[in-house]
Amino acid sequence: MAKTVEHHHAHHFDSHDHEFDASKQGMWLFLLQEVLFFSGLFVAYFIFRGLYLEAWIEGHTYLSIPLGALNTAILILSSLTMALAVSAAQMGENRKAAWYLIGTLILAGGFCVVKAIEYTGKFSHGIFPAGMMEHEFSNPKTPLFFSIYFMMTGVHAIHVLGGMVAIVWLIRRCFRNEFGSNYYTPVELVGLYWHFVDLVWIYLFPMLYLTT
Amino acid sequence: MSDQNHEHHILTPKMALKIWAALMVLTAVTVAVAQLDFGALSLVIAMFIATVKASLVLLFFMGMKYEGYQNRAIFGASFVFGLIFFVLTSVDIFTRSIARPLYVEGYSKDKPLIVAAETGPKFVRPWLVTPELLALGKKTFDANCVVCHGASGKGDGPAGGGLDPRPRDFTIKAGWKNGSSRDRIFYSLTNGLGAMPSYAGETAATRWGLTHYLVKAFFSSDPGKVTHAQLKSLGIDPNAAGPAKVKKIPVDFAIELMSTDG
Repeated sequence: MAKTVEHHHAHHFDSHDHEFDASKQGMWLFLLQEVLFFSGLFVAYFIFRGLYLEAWIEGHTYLSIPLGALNTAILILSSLTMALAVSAAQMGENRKAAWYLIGTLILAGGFCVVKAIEYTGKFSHGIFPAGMMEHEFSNPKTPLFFSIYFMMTGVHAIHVLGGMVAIVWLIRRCFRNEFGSNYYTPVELVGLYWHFVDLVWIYLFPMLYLTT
Repeated sequence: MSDQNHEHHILTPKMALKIWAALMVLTAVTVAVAQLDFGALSLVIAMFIATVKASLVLLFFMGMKYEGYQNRAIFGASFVFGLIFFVLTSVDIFTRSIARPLYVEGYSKDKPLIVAAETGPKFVRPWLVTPELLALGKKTFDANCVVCHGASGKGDGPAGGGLDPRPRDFTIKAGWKNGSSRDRIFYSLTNGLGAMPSYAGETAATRWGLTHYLVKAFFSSDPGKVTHAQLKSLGIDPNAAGPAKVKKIPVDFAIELMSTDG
Protein backbone atom coordinates (compact mmCIF):
# COMPACT_ATOMS: atom_id res chain seq x y z
CA MET A 1 0.00 0.00 0.00
CA ALA A 2 1.76 3.15 -1.16
CA LYS A 3 1.65 5.92 1.39
CA THR A 4 1.47 9.58 0.47
CA VAL A 5 2.70 12.64 2.27
CA GLU A 6 1.59 16.20 2.21
CA HIS A 7 3.52 17.99 -0.50
CA HIS A 8 2.75 21.17 -2.33
CA HIS A 9 4.53 21.61 -5.62
CA ALA A 10 6.14 24.98 -6.30
CA HIS A 11 3.68 27.44 -7.81
CA HIS A 12 5.48 27.85 -11.10
CA PHE A 13 4.85 24.19 -11.92
CA ASP A 14 1.48 22.96 -13.22
CA SER A 15 1.45 19.76 -11.19
CA HIS A 16 3.43 17.36 -9.05
CA ASP A 17 4.41 15.54 -12.23
CA HIS A 18 5.64 18.70 -13.86
CA GLU A 19 7.78 19.50 -10.82
CA PHE A 20 9.14 15.98 -10.64
CA ASP A 21 9.97 15.82 -14.34
CA ALA A 22 11.68 19.22 -14.26
CA SER A 23 13.72 18.22 -11.21
CA LYS A 24 14.76 14.96 -12.79
CA GLN A 25 15.73 16.65 -16.03
CA GLY A 26 17.85 19.06 -14.03
CA MET A 27 19.74 16.13 -12.55
CA TRP A 28 20.25 14.55 -15.99
CA LEU A 29 21.64 17.86 -17.24
CA PHE A 30 24.01 17.88 -14.30
CA LEU A 31 25.06 14.32 -15.13
CA LEU A 32 25.72 15.42 -18.72
CA GLN A 33 28.17 17.92 -17.29
CA GLU A 34 29.68 15.22 -15.10
CA VAL A 35 30.33 13.02 -18.13
CA LEU A 36 32.17 15.87 -19.84
CA PHE A 37 33.94 16.71 -16.58
CA PHE A 38 35.39 13.22 -16.31
CA SER A 39 35.98 13.03 -20.06
CA GLY A 40 38.91 15.44 -19.68
CA LEU A 41 40.74 12.94 -17.53
CA PHE A 42 39.58 9.94 -19.56
CA VAL A 43 40.87 11.46 -22.82
CA ALA A 44 44.16 12.35 -21.13
CA TYR A 45 44.45 8.76 -19.91
CA PHE A 46 43.91 7.28 -23.37
CA ILE A 47 46.14 9.75 -25.22
CA PHE A 48 49.07 9.30 -22.84
CA ARG A 49 48.53 5.55 -22.77
CA GLY A 50 48.83 5.55 -26.56
CA LEU A 51 52.05 7.53 -26.38
CA TYR A 52 53.69 5.89 -23.39
CA LEU A 53 52.31 2.35 -23.23
CA GLU A 54 55.35 0.93 -21.44
CA ALA A 55 55.02 3.50 -18.69
CA TRP A 56 51.35 2.57 -18.35
CA ILE A 57 52.21 -1.12 -18.09
CA GLU A 58 54.86 -0.42 -15.48
CA GLY A 59 52.58 1.89 -13.51
CA HIS A 60 49.68 -0.52 -13.32
CA THR A 61 51.88 -3.21 -11.75
CA TYR A 62 51.94 -1.06 -8.63
CA LEU A 63 48.14 -1.20 -8.26
CA SER A 64 46.45 -3.98 -6.33
CA ILE A 65 43.84 -5.76 -8.43
CA PRO A 66 42.20 -7.43 -5.39
CA LEU A 67 41.68 -4.06 -3.71
CA GLY A 68 40.37 -2.54 -6.94
CA ALA A 69 38.01 -5.46 -7.46
CA LEU A 70 36.86 -5.19 -3.84
CA ASN A 71 36.05 -1.52 -4.34
CA THR A 72 34.17 -2.39 -7.52
CA ALA A 73 32.10 -4.95 -5.64
CA ILE A 74 31.46 -2.46 -2.82
CA LEU A 75 30.19 0.22 -5.18
CA ILE A 76 28.02 -2.18 -7.18
CA LEU A 77 26.42 -3.39 -3.95
CA SER A 78 25.90 0.23 -2.88
CA SER A 79 24.07 0.85 -6.16
CA LEU A 80 21.79 -2.05 -5.26
CA THR A 81 21.02 -0.69 -1.79
CA MET A 82 20.48 2.77 -3.29
CA ALA A 83 18.08 1.39 -5.91
CA LEU A 84 16.18 -0.42 -3.16
CA ALA A 85 16.09 2.80 -1.14
CA VAL A 86 14.54 4.65 -4.08
CA SER A 87 11.94 1.90 -4.57
CA ALA A 88 11.06 2.02 -0.88
CA ALA A 89 10.68 5.80 -0.98
CA GLN A 90 8.47 5.46 -4.07
CA MET A 91 6.17 3.29 -1.94
CA GLY A 92 6.23 5.77 0.91
CA GLU A 93 8.12 3.32 3.16
CA ASN A 94 10.37 5.84 4.86
CA ARG A 95 11.96 3.60 7.48
CA LYS A 96 12.87 0.94 4.92
CA ALA A 97 14.33 3.62 2.67
CA ALA A 98 16.30 5.00 5.60
CA TRP A 99 17.90 1.63 6.35
CA TYR A 100 18.78 1.00 2.74
CA LEU A 101 20.35 4.45 2.65
CA ILE A 102 22.32 3.67 5.81
CA GLY A 103 23.57 0.52 4.08
CA THR A 104 24.62 2.62 1.08
CA LEU A 105 26.40 5.04 3.37
CA ILE A 106 28.31 2.27 5.14
CA LEU A 107 29.37 0.78 1.82
CA ALA A 108 30.48 4.20 0.59
CA GLY A 109 32.52 4.56 3.76
CA GLY A 110 34.03 1.15 3.08
CA PHE A 111 35.03 2.32 -0.39
CA CYS A 112 36.80 5.32 1.12
CA VAL A 113 38.60 3.12 3.66
CA VAL A 114 39.94 0.84 0.91
CA LYS A 115 40.99 3.92 -1.08
CA ALA A 116 42.79 5.28 1.97
CA ILE A 117 44.61 1.96 2.38
CA GLU A 118 45.68 2.09 -1.25
CA TYR A 119 46.83 5.70 -1.07
CA THR A 120 48.83 5.30 2.13
CA GLY A 121 50.42 2.20 0.63
CA LYS A 122 51.50 4.26 -2.37
CA PHE A 123 52.80 7.11 -0.23
CA SER A 124 54.84 4.76 1.93
CA HIS A 125 56.60 3.57 -1.24
CA GLY A 126 57.33 7.15 -2.25
CA ILE A 127 54.73 7.08 -4.99
CA PHE A 128 53.07 10.46 -5.32
CA PRO A 129 51.72 12.46 -8.25
CA ALA A 130 54.48 13.44 -10.66
CA GLY A 131 56.28 16.48 -9.36
CA MET A 132 56.17 15.13 -5.82
CA MET A 133 57.33 11.69 -6.87
CA GLU A 134 60.07 10.09 -4.82
CA HIS A 135 60.08 6.58 -6.24
CA GLU A 136 62.35 5.69 -9.16
CA PHE A 137 60.89 3.84 -12.11
CA SER A 138 62.59 2.25 -15.08
CA ASN A 139 60.42 4.14 -17.54
CA PRO A 140 60.79 7.94 -17.39
CA LYS A 141 57.10 8.51 -18.09
CA THR A 142 55.65 6.33 -15.31
CA PRO A 143 55.21 9.33 -12.95
CA LEU A 144 52.73 10.63 -15.53
CA PHE A 145 50.66 7.47 -15.09
CA PHE A 146 50.50 8.14 -11.38
CA SER A 147 49.47 11.75 -11.87
CA ILE A 148 46.55 10.49 -13.90
CA TYR A 149 45.83 7.71 -11.40
CA PHE A 150 45.73 10.07 -8.41
CA MET A 151 43.67 12.67 -10.26
CA MET A 152 41.09 10.21 -11.57
CA THR A 153 40.64 8.21 -8.38
CA GLY A 154 40.96 11.32 -6.22
CA VAL A 155 38.34 13.30 -8.08
CA HIS A 156 36.11 10.23 -8.08
CA ALA A 157 36.60 9.84 -4.31
CA ILE A 158 35.60 13.48 -3.82
CA HIS A 159 32.39 12.66 -5.68
CA VAL A 160 31.85 9.69 -3.36
CA LEU A 161 32.28 11.96 -0.32
CA GLY A 162 29.84 14.49 -1.76
CA GLY A 163 27.36 11.69 -2.33
CA MET A 164 27.78 10.54 1.26
CA VAL A 165 26.84 14.02 2.51
CA ALA A 166 23.70 13.97 0.35
CA ILE A 167 22.80 10.49 1.62
CA VAL A 168 23.10 11.62 5.25
CA TRP A 169 20.68 14.43 4.44
CA LEU A 170 18.26 11.93 2.91
CA ILE A 171 18.45 9.60 5.93
CA ARG A 172 17.47 12.48 8.17
CA ARG A 173 14.50 13.33 5.98
CA CYS A 174 13.42 9.68 5.86
CA PHE A 175 13.36 9.40 9.64
CA ARG A 176 11.11 12.48 9.56
CA ASN A 177 8.72 10.64 7.20
CA GLU A 178 9.03 13.31 4.55
CA PHE A 179 8.67 11.02 1.53
CA GLY A 180 5.65 9.36 -0.04
CA SER A 181 4.45 7.89 -3.31
CA ASN A 182 3.50 11.39 -4.40
CA TYR A 183 6.82 12.95 -3.43
CA TYR A 184 10.18 11.21 -3.34
CA THR A 185 12.12 13.48 -5.70
CA PRO A 186 15.23 14.02 -3.50
CA VAL A 187 15.73 10.28 -3.12
CA GLU A 188 15.34 9.76 -6.86
CA LEU A 189 17.84 12.49 -7.71
CA VAL A 190 20.49 11.44 -5.20
CA GLY A 191 19.97 7.92 -6.51
CA LEU A 192 20.73 9.05 -10.05
CA TYR A 193 23.87 10.82 -8.86
CA TRP A 194 25.01 7.80 -6.87
CA HIS A 195 24.56 5.39 -9.78
CA PHE A 196 26.59 7.74 -11.92
CA VAL A 197 29.43 7.65 -9.39
CA ASP A 198 29.30 3.85 -9.62
CA LEU A 199 29.28 4.11 -13.43
CA VAL A 200 32.50 6.14 -13.48
CA TRP A 201 34.23 3.56 -11.27
CA ILE A 202 33.02 0.76 -13.56
CA TYR A 203 35.30 2.31 -16.19
CA LEU A 204 38.11 3.41 -13.86
CA PHE A 205 38.67 -0.10 -12.52
CA PRO A 206 39.59 -1.83 -15.79
CA MET A 207 41.38 1.24 -17.14
CA LEU A 208 43.71 1.70 -14.20
CA TYR A 209 43.97 -1.75 -12.65
CA LEU A 210 43.52 -4.17 -15.53
CA THR A 211 45.18 -2.13 -18.21
CA THR A 212 47.43 -4.59 -19.98
CA MET B 1 -5.27 20.33 -5.61
CA SER B 2 -4.22 16.75 -5.18
CA ASP B 3 -2.63 15.58 -8.40
CA GLN B 4 -2.41 12.01 -9.48
CA ASN B 5 1.09 11.10 -10.49
CA HIS B 6 1.27 9.26 -13.75
CA GLU B 7 2.73 5.85 -13.22
CA HIS B 8 6.41 6.13 -12.38
CA HIS B 9 8.18 2.92 -12.88
CA ILE B 10 9.19 1.26 -9.61
CA LEU B 11 12.11 -1.14 -9.77
CA THR B 12 11.15 -4.31 -7.91
CA PRO B 13 13.63 -5.81 -5.40
CA LYS B 14 13.71 -8.97 -7.51
CA MET B 15 14.74 -7.07 -10.63
CA ALA B 16 17.25 -5.01 -8.68
CA LEU B 17 18.86 -8.18 -7.36
CA LYS B 18 19.06 -9.67 -10.85
CA ILE B 19 20.86 -6.60 -12.15
CA TRP B 20 23.21 -6.68 -9.18
CA ALA B 21 24.01 -10.34 -9.83
CA ALA B 22 24.70 -9.63 -13.51
CA LEU B 23 27.04 -6.80 -12.55
CA MET B 24 28.97 -9.04 -10.15
CA VAL B 25 29.30 -11.78 -12.76
CA LEU B 26 30.54 -9.28 -15.35
CA THR B 27 33.07 -7.93 -12.84
CA ALA B 28 34.41 -11.44 -12.29
CA VAL B 29 34.55 -11.95 -16.07
CA THR B 30 36.50 -8.77 -16.66
CA VAL B 31 39.05 -9.65 -13.95
CA ALA B 32 39.41 -13.17 -15.36
CA VAL B 33 39.79 -12.00 -18.96
CA ALA B 34 42.45 -9.52 -17.86
CA GLN B 35 44.64 -12.43 -16.75
CA LEU B 36 44.84 -13.62 -20.37
CA ASP B 37 46.88 -11.84 -23.00
CA PHE B 38 44.95 -10.54 -25.97
CA GLY B 39 47.52 -7.92 -26.84
CA ALA B 40 46.01 -4.68 -28.05
CA LEU B 41 42.55 -6.26 -27.91
CA SER B 42 42.71 -6.52 -24.11
CA LEU B 43 41.78 -2.89 -23.64
CA VAL B 44 38.97 -3.12 -26.19
CA ILE B 45 37.51 -6.19 -24.47
CA ALA B 46 37.78 -4.58 -21.04
CA MET B 47 36.05 -1.42 -22.26
CA PHE B 48 33.35 -3.48 -23.93
CA ILE B 49 32.56 -5.38 -20.73
CA ALA B 50 32.61 -2.09 -18.80
CA THR B 51 30.13 -0.63 -21.26
CA VAL B 52 27.79 -3.60 -20.81
CA LYS B 53 27.94 -3.10 -17.03
CA ALA B 54 27.45 0.63 -17.42
CA SER B 55 24.43 0.02 -19.65
CA LEU B 56 22.82 -2.18 -17.00
CA VAL B 57 23.33 0.53 -14.36
CA LEU B 58 22.07 3.20 -16.74
CA LEU B 59 19.02 1.38 -18.08
CA PHE B 60 17.72 -0.22 -14.89
CA PHE B 61 19.18 1.42 -11.79
CA MET B 62 19.02 4.88 -13.35
CA GLY B 63 15.72 4.07 -15.10
CA MET B 64 16.82 5.18 -18.55
CA LYS B 65 14.82 2.30 -20.03
CA TYR B 66 11.65 4.02 -18.89
CA GLU B 67 12.68 7.59 -19.59
CA GLY B 68 11.23 9.81 -22.28
CA TYR B 69 13.23 11.02 -25.25
CA GLN B 70 14.29 14.28 -23.64
CA ASN B 71 16.42 12.81 -20.87
CA ARG B 72 17.74 10.17 -23.24
CA ALA B 73 18.80 12.90 -25.65
CA ILE B 74 20.45 14.85 -22.86
CA PHE B 75 22.54 11.97 -21.58
CA GLY B 76 23.23 10.67 -25.09
CA ALA B 77 24.50 14.10 -26.08
CA SER B 78 27.12 13.97 -23.34
CA PHE B 79 28.63 10.88 -24.90
CA VAL B 80 28.47 12.35 -28.41
CA PHE B 81 30.42 15.41 -27.34
CA GLY B 82 32.80 13.30 -25.27
CA LEU B 83 33.43 11.19 -28.34
CA ILE B 84 34.11 14.25 -30.52
CA PHE B 85 36.58 15.45 -27.89
CA PHE B 86 38.35 12.11 -27.80
CA VAL B 87 38.44 11.44 -31.55
CA LEU B 88 39.64 14.87 -32.66
CA THR B 89 42.32 15.01 -29.97
CA SER B 90 43.53 11.53 -30.86
CA VAL B 91 43.65 12.33 -34.56
CA ASP B 92 45.73 15.39 -33.81
CA ILE B 93 48.22 13.63 -31.55
CA PHE B 94 48.59 10.33 -33.34
CA THR B 95 48.99 11.74 -36.85
CA ARG B 96 51.93 13.89 -35.88
CA SER B 97 54.90 12.56 -37.79
CA ILE B 98 58.47 13.56 -37.88
CA ALA B 99 58.04 16.61 -35.72
CA ARG B 100 59.00 13.92 -33.33
CA PRO B 101 59.16 15.51 -29.87
CA LEU B 102 56.01 13.86 -28.55
CA TYR B 103 57.26 10.35 -29.01
CA VAL B 104 59.46 8.97 -26.30
CA GLU B 105 61.75 6.26 -27.54
CA GLY B 106 62.23 5.03 -23.98
CA TYR B 107 65.86 5.67 -23.41
CA SER B 108 67.92 3.17 -21.59
CA LYS B 109 71.58 3.34 -20.74
CA ASP B 110 71.88 -0.34 -21.55
CA LYS B 111 70.64 -0.02 -25.09
CA PRO B 112 73.33 -1.24 -27.47
CA LEU B 113 74.90 1.30 -29.77
CA ILE B 114 73.16 1.23 -33.12
CA VAL B 115 75.39 0.85 -36.12
CA ALA B 116 75.16 3.94 -38.27
CA ALA B 117 73.65 4.14 -41.70
CA GLU B 118 76.13 4.49 -44.46
CA THR B 119 74.47 7.15 -46.59
CA GLY B 120 75.48 10.75 -46.40
CA PRO B 121 78.83 12.43 -45.94
CA LYS B 122 81.69 10.28 -44.74
CA PHE B 123 84.84 11.46 -43.16
CA VAL B 124 87.99 9.81 -42.08
CA ARG B 125 88.26 9.85 -38.27
CA PRO B 126 85.32 12.19 -37.77
CA TRP B 127 85.97 12.39 -34.01
CA LEU B 128 88.77 14.83 -34.80
CA VAL B 129 87.61 18.39 -35.37
CA THR B 130 87.92 19.79 -38.87
CA PRO B 131 86.35 22.85 -40.46
CA GLU B 132 84.37 20.63 -42.84
CA LEU B 133 82.88 18.68 -39.96
CA LEU B 134 82.00 21.88 -38.15
CA ALA B 135 80.24 23.17 -41.24
CA LEU B 136 78.35 19.88 -41.60
CA GLY B 137 77.44 20.05 -37.92
CA LYS B 138 76.18 23.59 -38.18
CA LYS B 139 74.12 22.84 -41.27
CA THR B 140 72.57 19.79 -39.60
CA PHE B 141 71.94 21.66 -36.37
CA ASP B 142 70.19 24.55 -38.08
CA ALA B 143 67.99 22.18 -40.06
CA ASN B 144 67.05 19.68 -37.34
CA CYS B 145 67.89 20.83 -33.85
CA VAL B 146 67.03 24.51 -33.60
CA VAL B 147 63.34 23.66 -33.45
CA CYS B 148 63.77 22.23 -29.93
CA HIS B 149 67.15 23.39 -28.70
CA GLY B 150 66.81 26.93 -30.01
CA ALA B 151 69.19 28.94 -32.15
CA SER B 152 70.97 29.97 -28.94
CA GLY B 153 71.33 26.34 -27.86
CA LYS B 154 69.55 27.14 -24.60
CA GLY B 155 66.75 24.63 -25.07
CA ASP B 156 64.25 27.38 -25.85
CA GLY B 157 63.23 26.34 -29.33
CA PRO B 158 59.53 26.68 -30.27
CA ALA B 159 58.76 22.95 -30.21
CA GLY B 160 60.62 22.40 -26.97
CA GLY B 161 58.21 24.35 -24.83
CA GLY B 162 55.82 21.47 -24.37
CA LEU B 163 58.46 18.99 -23.38
CA ASP B 164 59.21 17.91 -19.89
CA PRO B 165 62.07 17.83 -19.18
CA ARG B 166 62.96 20.77 -21.41
CA PRO B 167 65.47 20.25 -24.22
CA ARG B 168 69.09 20.42 -23.07
CA ASP B 169 70.52 23.90 -22.57
CA PHE B 170 73.96 23.45 -24.08
CA THR B 171 75.34 26.56 -22.42
CA ILE B 172 75.02 25.05 -18.96
CA LYS B 173 77.44 22.37 -17.83
CA ALA B 174 75.31 20.88 -15.06
CA GLY B 175 72.67 18.19 -15.44
CA TRP B 176 73.79 16.37 -18.58
CA LYS B 177 72.20 12.92 -18.13
CA ASN B 178 74.80 11.16 -20.25
CA GLY B 179 77.69 13.54 -19.65
CA SER B 180 78.99 16.40 -21.79
CA SER B 181 82.30 15.12 -23.13
CA ARG B 182 82.44 14.69 -26.90
CA ASP B 183 82.04 10.92 -26.78
CA ARG B 184 78.97 11.23 -24.55
CA ILE B 185 77.39 13.79 -26.85
CA PHE B 186 77.94 11.38 -29.72
CA TYR B 187 76.43 8.61 -27.59
CA SER B 188 73.31 10.67 -26.83
CA LEU B 189 72.83 11.56 -30.49
CA THR B 190 73.20 7.92 -31.50
CA ASN B 191 70.91 6.39 -28.88
CA GLY B 192 68.49 9.22 -28.31
CA LEU B 193 67.78 10.65 -24.89
CA GLY B 194 64.42 11.38 -23.28
CA ALA B 195 62.17 12.94 -25.89
CA MET B 196 64.97 13.20 -28.42
CA PRO B 197 64.91 10.20 -30.73
CA SER B 198 67.95 8.33 -31.89
CA TYR B 199 69.82 9.88 -34.81
CA ALA B 200 71.57 6.66 -35.71
CA GLY B 201 70.01 7.03 -39.15
CA GLU B 202 72.51 9.81 -39.81
CA THR B 203 76.08 8.87 -40.62
CA ALA B 204 78.63 8.86 -37.83
CA ALA B 205 80.28 11.83 -39.49
CA THR B 206 77.07 13.84 -39.21
CA ARG B 207 76.79 12.99 -35.55
CA TRP B 208 80.41 13.86 -34.90
CA GLY B 209 79.92 17.08 -36.86
CA LEU B 210 77.01 17.95 -34.60
CA THR B 211 79.12 17.10 -31.56
CA HIS B 212 81.96 19.37 -32.63
CA TYR B 213 79.58 22.16 -33.58
CA LEU B 214 77.84 21.92 -30.19
CA VAL B 215 81.14 22.28 -28.37
CA LYS B 216 82.35 25.12 -30.54
CA ALA B 217 79.14 27.13 -30.63
CA PHE B 218 77.75 26.68 -27.13
CA PHE B 219 80.34 25.43 -24.67
CA SER B 220 82.31 27.91 -22.60
CA SER B 221 85.21 25.48 -22.28
CA ASP B 222 86.34 22.60 -24.48
CA PRO B 223 85.85 19.14 -22.91
CA GLY B 224 88.90 17.92 -24.81
CA LYS B 225 89.56 15.42 -27.53
CA VAL B 226 88.01 12.00 -27.72
CA THR B 227 90.38 9.43 -26.25
CA HIS B 228 90.96 5.97 -27.63
CA ALA B 229 89.36 4.47 -24.54
CA GLN B 230 86.24 6.52 -25.12
CA LEU B 231 86.15 5.48 -28.78
CA LYS B 232 86.42 1.85 -27.76
CA SER B 233 83.57 2.26 -25.29
CA LEU B 234 81.50 3.58 -28.20
CA GLY B 235 82.38 0.49 -30.18
CA ILE B 236 84.54 2.45 -32.62
CA ASP B 237 87.91 1.09 -33.62
CA PRO B 238 90.15 4.15 -33.96
CA ASN B 239 92.44 2.35 -36.37
CA ALA B 240 89.74 1.13 -38.71
CA ALA B 241 88.93 4.56 -40.04
CA GLY B 242 90.87 4.12 -43.23
CA PRO B 243 94.38 5.23 -44.15
CA ALA B 244 95.60 8.13 -42.10
CA LYS B 245 96.40 11.27 -43.99
CA VAL B 246 100.09 11.28 -44.67
CA LYS B 247 101.71 14.11 -42.77
CA LYS B 248 104.52 16.05 -44.35
CA ILE B 249 107.37 16.67 -41.93
CA PRO B 250 110.16 19.18 -42.22
CA VAL B 251 113.28 17.83 -43.92
CA ASP B 252 115.72 18.49 -41.07
CA PHE B 253 113.38 16.64 -38.67
CA ALA B 254 113.33 13.72 -41.10
CA ILE B 255 117.10 13.66 -41.14
CA GLU B 256 117.14 13.75 -37.34
CA LEU B 257 114.70 10.80 -37.19
CA MET B 258 116.82 8.78 -39.59
CA SER B 259 119.96 9.38 -37.68
CA THR B 260 118.66 8.24 -34.26
CA ASP B 261 118.07 4.72 -33.11
CA GLY B 262 114.67 3.03 -32.89
